[in-house]
Amino acid sequence: MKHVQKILFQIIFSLTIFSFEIGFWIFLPPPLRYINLTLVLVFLFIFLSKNDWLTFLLIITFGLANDFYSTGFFGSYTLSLLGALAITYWILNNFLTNKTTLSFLTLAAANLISFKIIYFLINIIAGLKLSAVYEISFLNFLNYAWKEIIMDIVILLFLFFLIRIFSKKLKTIFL
Amino acid sequence: MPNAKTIFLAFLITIFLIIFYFFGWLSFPEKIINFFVSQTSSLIYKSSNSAKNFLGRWTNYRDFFEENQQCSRKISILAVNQSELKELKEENQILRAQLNFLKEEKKYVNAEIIGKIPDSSINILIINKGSDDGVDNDAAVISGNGVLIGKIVKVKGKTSWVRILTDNQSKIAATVLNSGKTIGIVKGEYNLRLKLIMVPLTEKIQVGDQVVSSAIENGVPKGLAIGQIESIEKELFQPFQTAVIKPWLDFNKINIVAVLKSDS
Repeated sequence: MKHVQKILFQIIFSLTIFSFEIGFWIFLPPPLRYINLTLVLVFLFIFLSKNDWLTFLLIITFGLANDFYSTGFFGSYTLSLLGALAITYWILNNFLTNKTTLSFLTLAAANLISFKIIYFLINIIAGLKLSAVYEISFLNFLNYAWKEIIMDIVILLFLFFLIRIFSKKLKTIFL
Repeated sequence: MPNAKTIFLAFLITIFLIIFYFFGWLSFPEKIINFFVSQTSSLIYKSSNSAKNFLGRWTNYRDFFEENQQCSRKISILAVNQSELKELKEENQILRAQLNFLKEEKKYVNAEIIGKIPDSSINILIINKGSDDGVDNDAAVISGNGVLIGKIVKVKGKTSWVRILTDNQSKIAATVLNSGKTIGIVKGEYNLRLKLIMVPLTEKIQVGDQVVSSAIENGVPKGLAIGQIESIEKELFQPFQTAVIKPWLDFNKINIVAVLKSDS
C-alpha cells in the first residue's frame, strides 16, 4: 500500500511539474524560458534517488507527458531521456571516479547534449518517414540548443551547490 | 544511478509503450494525463496572467498603465475596423459576410489556452478544444476582436495545437492594404516578431500600412487583421524588399481564442 502511494505521489508530482512548465515557465522571457524543468529534474533525480524504479517512473511520466503534448514523433522524448541516461551511465562507469564539481558538470553536459542530439535525430528520421509536424532545421536546432544547454547547466550547478550545502547525500553518490 | 539492466528494461518497456500508442491502446492513460494536465496547467496559466495584470496595475504608473491599456485596446479595435472598411470599399458584399461571420454564422469554436509546448524553439500554443468539438487541421485561430493569431497544426480529441504567427516555421499569405494591394508572405522571426517577405521592389509599401490575411491562404479567410508595418528594409541588388510588422496583440497574454471552422 505504501508502495502504491509512493508511485501515485510520484506520478502526480511529475504531472504537476509538467503542467507548471507548459502553463507558466515556458511563457517567461528568455533566458529563463530556456531552462527545461523536466530535464533538470530528471538529471537531479538520477543522482539523488536510490530507487531505480522510481527514477524510471519519473522518466516515463515526464517522457509520456511531453510526448503527448509535443508535435514531434511520439516516444521521441522518452527514448531521448533514456538514451541520455544510458550515455551518462556509461561515462560515469568508464571515465569518472571522483565526486568533484567538475565530474557533475561533465555528466550534466553529457546528459543534456546527448538528449538534444538523440531528440533531434529521432525527429529528423521520423519527420522524413512520417511527415511529423515538428519541422526542424539544423540551424534552428543549433540556435536554441546551445542556449538551453547552457541555461540548464547553470541551474543544475546552482542546485548542486545548494544541495551540497544543505545535505550530505551527494557525498556517497560518486563512490 | 540506475544500473545497465534497469536501463535496458526501461528501453524495452518504452518501445512497447510506443507500439501500444500506435495501436491506440494508450488512449485511456492519455485521457487521464490530458485531463489532469489541462486542468492544472489551465489554472496555472490563468492565475499567472491574472497575477501579471494585477502587478501591472499596482505599479507606480498605475493610472498611466490603465490609460495605455485602454488606448492600445482602442487602437487595436480601430485598426481592425479601418482595415475592414478599406476592404469594404472594393469588395463590399464579400466582406459584409466576413465582418459578421462570427455573429451570424456561428461557425467557430471558442477555446481556452492551456499552455505552450515545452520547447523554447517552437511557438505553439495548446488549446482545450479538439476534433470532438469540430476543430480541423489548418483552421485559422483568431482573438475575440478578429485578429489572426495562427493556424491549427495538430488536432486530437480534446486538444489542439496552434502555431502562432511569430513561430519560426509560420508562413501566412498576406495582403498590404495600400493602393496596389501588395501581396507577400508574413513569416515569424525568432519567435518574437513578424516579417513581410517576398514583396517586389516595384511595390510601394509604407510604414503604418496595415497587413491582413490573403484569400490564397488555405483555411484562413481573407481580411483578418495581422498587424501594421513598422519599418521597411531594402537592400541593394535584391529583387525583394522586406518589412517588419508589429502584431496587434501580445500573443503571450491571450486567454480565450476562437477557431474558425473550415466552411466559414
